[in-house]
Amino acid sequence: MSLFSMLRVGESGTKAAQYGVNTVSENIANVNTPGYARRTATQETGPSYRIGSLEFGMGARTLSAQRVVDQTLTERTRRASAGASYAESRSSHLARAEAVFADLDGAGLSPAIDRVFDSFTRLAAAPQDRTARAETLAAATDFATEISRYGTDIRNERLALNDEVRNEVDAINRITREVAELNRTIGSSDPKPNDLLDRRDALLDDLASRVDIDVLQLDDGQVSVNLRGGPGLVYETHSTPLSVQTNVNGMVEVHQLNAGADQDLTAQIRTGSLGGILATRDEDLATVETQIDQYAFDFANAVNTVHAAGYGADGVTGRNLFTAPTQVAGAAAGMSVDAAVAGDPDAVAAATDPLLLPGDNRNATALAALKDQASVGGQTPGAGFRGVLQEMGDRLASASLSAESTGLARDQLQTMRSSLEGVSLDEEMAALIQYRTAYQAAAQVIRTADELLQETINLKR
Amino acid sequence: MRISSGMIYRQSLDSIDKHRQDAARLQNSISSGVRLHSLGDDTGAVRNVLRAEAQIRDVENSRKGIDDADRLLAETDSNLDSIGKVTDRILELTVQFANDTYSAADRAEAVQEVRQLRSRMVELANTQSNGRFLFGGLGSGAAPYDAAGVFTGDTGALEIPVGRGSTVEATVSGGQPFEDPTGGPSLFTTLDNLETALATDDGATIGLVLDEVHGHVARISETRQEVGHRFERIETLRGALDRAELSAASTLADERDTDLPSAVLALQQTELGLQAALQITSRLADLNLMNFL
Repeated sequence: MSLFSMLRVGESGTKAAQYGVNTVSENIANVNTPGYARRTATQETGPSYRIGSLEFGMGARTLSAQRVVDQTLTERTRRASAGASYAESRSSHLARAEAVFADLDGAGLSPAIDRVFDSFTRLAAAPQDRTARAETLAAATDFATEISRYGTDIRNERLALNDEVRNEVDAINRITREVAELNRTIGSSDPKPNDLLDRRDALLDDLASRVDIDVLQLDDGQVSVNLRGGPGLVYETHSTPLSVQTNVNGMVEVHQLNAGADQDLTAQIRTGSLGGILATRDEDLATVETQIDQYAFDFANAVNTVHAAGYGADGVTGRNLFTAPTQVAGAAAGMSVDAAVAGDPDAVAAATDPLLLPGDNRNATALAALKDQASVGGQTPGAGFRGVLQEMGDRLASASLSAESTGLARDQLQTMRSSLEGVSLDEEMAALIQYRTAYQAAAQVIRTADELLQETINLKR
Repeated sequence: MRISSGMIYRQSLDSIDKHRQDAARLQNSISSGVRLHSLGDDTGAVRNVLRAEAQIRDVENSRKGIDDADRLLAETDSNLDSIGKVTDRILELTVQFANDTYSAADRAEAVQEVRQLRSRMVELANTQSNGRFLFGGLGSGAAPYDAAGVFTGDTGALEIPVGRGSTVEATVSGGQPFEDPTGGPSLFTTLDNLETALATDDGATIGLVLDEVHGHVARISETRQEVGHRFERIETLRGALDRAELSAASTLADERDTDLPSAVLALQQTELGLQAALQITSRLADLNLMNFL
């Protein structure tokens, strides 16, 4: 034990305190940096040596600052975030598509349906009146225009989501590429650079909100990333990009070219914002679109059957009021007044008996009666369409409810994570005082050692 | 639990945000007077609102049908009134000239008036309303009576749908009340007989014609009664429609409209909560160890 070694012990103390202050200042500087996990400076006792029975310490040893993270908690937060983004994306996209339906404000298709039957009633009251026939044609045209708008708009809402799918896939590819690059740098450095780890965690958080992923920590600090229960996205320093393909229905699918084999992953992506977009497009809006098409198909056929059985004022029978739909798909968008009737009020079939023209109104009465019969898909025309609206409403309600509950679950986990990883200014202030005091004390040790050395030098005089 | 600085800010922000959302929603429903803005808002209520709106449109539709029937029946009724008056005059003449105290010359003079009455009757029988012959039956393609007084229409009647699959007969059956459903002579045949009998000074035949005229008078008044019953039915239907409309309108108000007092109260509470959240945020932001060092 020498006085010089005492100087060194004092120095190690100032170093440790300095490093501590440095860590505190880093934490304070990054208090608002997203994805920043707070660092803790750790120190341990330095090596000691013995002289005889006495043990002498060599001061403190400073260890590199560590990020405070809990992998399990991070994992759980990411899963919750995937679930919440899924529900939020579904809820917001459905809410946007709801603009198609003006029915709750008493506009849109519901009144147009009623106007058609209203016009049949008016026709039944005055089949000999050409204006009543013209009104029927006008109401039928309005109805066809409106249901065709519904069919087209819902389809367009679905097609608009294609762009969102492309954007998401681009973002995912950008992230996986950067994660692979970060893997390379992190794998070759020791100690592991905290800033890069922060960056990678932030990227993985972002990725997890887009698709559900499985993150596997490898021994050398690298991570491998898989779609949960699916193929890999990042392995060590390689990333495998996702690609998009447009299918025959005009919908963009998510694919991956893996080991030379092209794989359609669309059905596997069930969560995250990408999953939300796909679910809105391929389940929610697809169901609503099919129901509207089915409704249009049934409606046109029900009205046509009765209309074709009757006679126009010109004594001709067998004409459809609406163009007969050939298939359910696209029936709403393709709805129109049949060419044989359009523009010709006399072609509207109000009569049942060609000998009783023009006064016979019985076919018009039969058409009007469809309104109160289970004529469209086993329901009255009004109730049938309300069923479609209800389907949309139920989906909106369930999406918004699940967005709320999954959002809460995610927020709670994020709060827990922030509680662990986030910087507390109070804590840093206390640490600052602690390190400042330690530094002052260690400096005092050096000063004392210096004085003792002076004393020793003075002994010779 | 460790509280990080970010947590404090985020939680304050979250709660302020939540209060603001609530306030915006309440303000919207108070200012618009409607509490349902999306099909997904309250699916049960939305369903009732959509159904009630459809019911109100139904009622309006049925009212139009009923109004059409009402108008046609009113015209029929006023025509029957005129027909009744003409027939009354015919009855008077027949009774008068059945009496054999009148000379052949007197009877021949009356022929003129009978002819006039007959042509007036043909006019009435061929009355049109908006292109429909009121007494021509269902087909109504041409005037039901030709100059000879022969019926060329059909015996149908116009039935107008008035909702829920039911109809109201808006005209009398074709030929009613001029034709005798039991096969007797029509009103015009009777007039022809009367004219001939008067011209030939045939008192006995005039006596027979009198019986026929009595039959026609009875048929005309029966027809008017029938029309009167239909008016009653129309009034009943109107009452039912009024009640249906009232009930649908009250459902609509209950389910769709904002309950103003409770919404205003809720808005006040939200404002209070927002104020508290803002105050707490500003106080917490100032409160940290730095101020005490």
